[in-house]
Amino acid sequence: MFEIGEAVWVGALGDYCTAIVVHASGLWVAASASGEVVMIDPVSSQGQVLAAGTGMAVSVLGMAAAFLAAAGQDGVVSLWAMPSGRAIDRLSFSGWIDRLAWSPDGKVLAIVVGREVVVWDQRIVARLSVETTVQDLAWSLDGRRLAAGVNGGVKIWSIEDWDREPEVIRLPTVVVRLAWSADGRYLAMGNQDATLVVVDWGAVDRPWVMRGLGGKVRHGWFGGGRLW
Amino acid sequence: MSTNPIPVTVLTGYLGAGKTTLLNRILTHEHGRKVAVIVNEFGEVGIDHQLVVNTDEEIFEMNNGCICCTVRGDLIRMIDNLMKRRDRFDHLVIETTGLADPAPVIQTFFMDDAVKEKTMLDAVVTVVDAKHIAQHWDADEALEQIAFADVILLNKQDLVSEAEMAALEQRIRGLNALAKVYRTQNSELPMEALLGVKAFDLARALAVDPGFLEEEAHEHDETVGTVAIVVPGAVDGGKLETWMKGLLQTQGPDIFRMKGILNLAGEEARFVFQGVHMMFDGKRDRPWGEDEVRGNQLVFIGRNLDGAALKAGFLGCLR
Repeated sequence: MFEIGEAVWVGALGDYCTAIVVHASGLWVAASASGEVVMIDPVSSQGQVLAAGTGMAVSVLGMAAAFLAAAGQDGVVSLWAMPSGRAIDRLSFSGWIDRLAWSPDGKVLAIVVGREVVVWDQRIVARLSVETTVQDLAWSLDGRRLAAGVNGGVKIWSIEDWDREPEVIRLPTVVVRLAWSADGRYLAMGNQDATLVVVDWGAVDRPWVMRGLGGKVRHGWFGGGRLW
Repeated sequence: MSTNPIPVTVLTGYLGAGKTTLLNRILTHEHGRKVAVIVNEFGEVGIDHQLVVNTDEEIFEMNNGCICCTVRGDLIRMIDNLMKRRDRFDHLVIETTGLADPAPVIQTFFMDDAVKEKTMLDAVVTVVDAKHIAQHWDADEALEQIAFADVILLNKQDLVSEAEMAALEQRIRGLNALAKVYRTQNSELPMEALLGVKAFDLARALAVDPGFLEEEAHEHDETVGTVAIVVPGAVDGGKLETWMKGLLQTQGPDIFRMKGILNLAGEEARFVFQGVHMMFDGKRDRPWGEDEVRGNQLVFIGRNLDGAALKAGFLGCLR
């Protein structure tokens, strides 16, 4: 389509670029610390402004097959249809929103709103309360479970019944990053105390704890059957 | 884009002491600094400002075997978010609630890797209501906010007599001999005394009022107080380490702040240190001057500290 090294679109945002996501169609979306959200078509080199800068930062973008979500400092989650870029919904909360996650099928959006996880499926279908601030969210790849990292471990809800008490993996630390393995068997937790914990879903009471890391774990993912 | 760490001022004090007045002055004053503020309650700051953000106090225990090692999870998260607007500010002020414990706030800047990389604690500033502090002397928070401070504003000086003010100032110096104490009205103080103080810079480890060090005994009935040790001689590094480790393990929760300059045996440079609870931070400083008298100065601020025992323990470290 284009050669490596060729700039297909060059534009300036009002502040630092805080997030970039790519849609399956090849469209790119970028957000900035002043609140702009711009959709870029690398083929036509056209940029389309989905949201103008408000001065309030966008911290997170979430791309799904049919949707785009953006949220940030003003506590508003904006939703657009993809690939058209048509605005479809706007959810207002209070507090800075910096974590959200689409279900693997791209239909259900989970949003961290302080000590609550808000679940959106065309409308808000659940508000899951947690005692401490949710640090990270991760859907199992089959989309059947949603895990939230918190102070004291991980809470895992089943999509079949949001009202049912979540399963809990207790850890004596704050879980700041979560990742599921592709087969849904393992859940990895990166923690504030510089440990990495992996649990086998069949034996959650026997976690593997890895110590000796230089600092707290800030990113982690499973790929090719391995944990990175 | 600047990669220098952002200096952070922690603002403490009881509700009504004048914290918000001070905050508004910092935000509106033409001091050439762009200030971002983390507040615990919206609505108190009378300014619509994109860099005034709100958090809910959330304490994380570190579970590293140190019972007093706690950090503020909400600040870790919010500082990470604010750093993406790094070009918009060059100083961060954190306002705590009147009931907040300053220790987790301070420890966040030493114990969280991500925060430590991007920021540098500048000073803890405590605003005291000179008129109403008398009602709060029996509250732990009031004493701790004073004990942890680097800068103390004795505010509302217009509402108390000179004699009352002098007594209050003396009492506060007994609690915390390291802090700079200012008498103020409407929280008015030159910005240089508030921002850019570098109180946690080890190169400026000790600035105790010399008068305090010279006085032999400090009579106070408070459980919180300052112990200063000034002794000549050379310190044995190994003995010091053993003593300090034991001290922090047994009395860490009661030691709020400590600072010192030491003359290590066999070293040409001064050794400077500071600590908050069980957290200790020390390094080799500049060489001793030709005419400088080599010696040791240590200051401890804390609860139920036994000055005689501390001094005896330290003397045992001398060669």
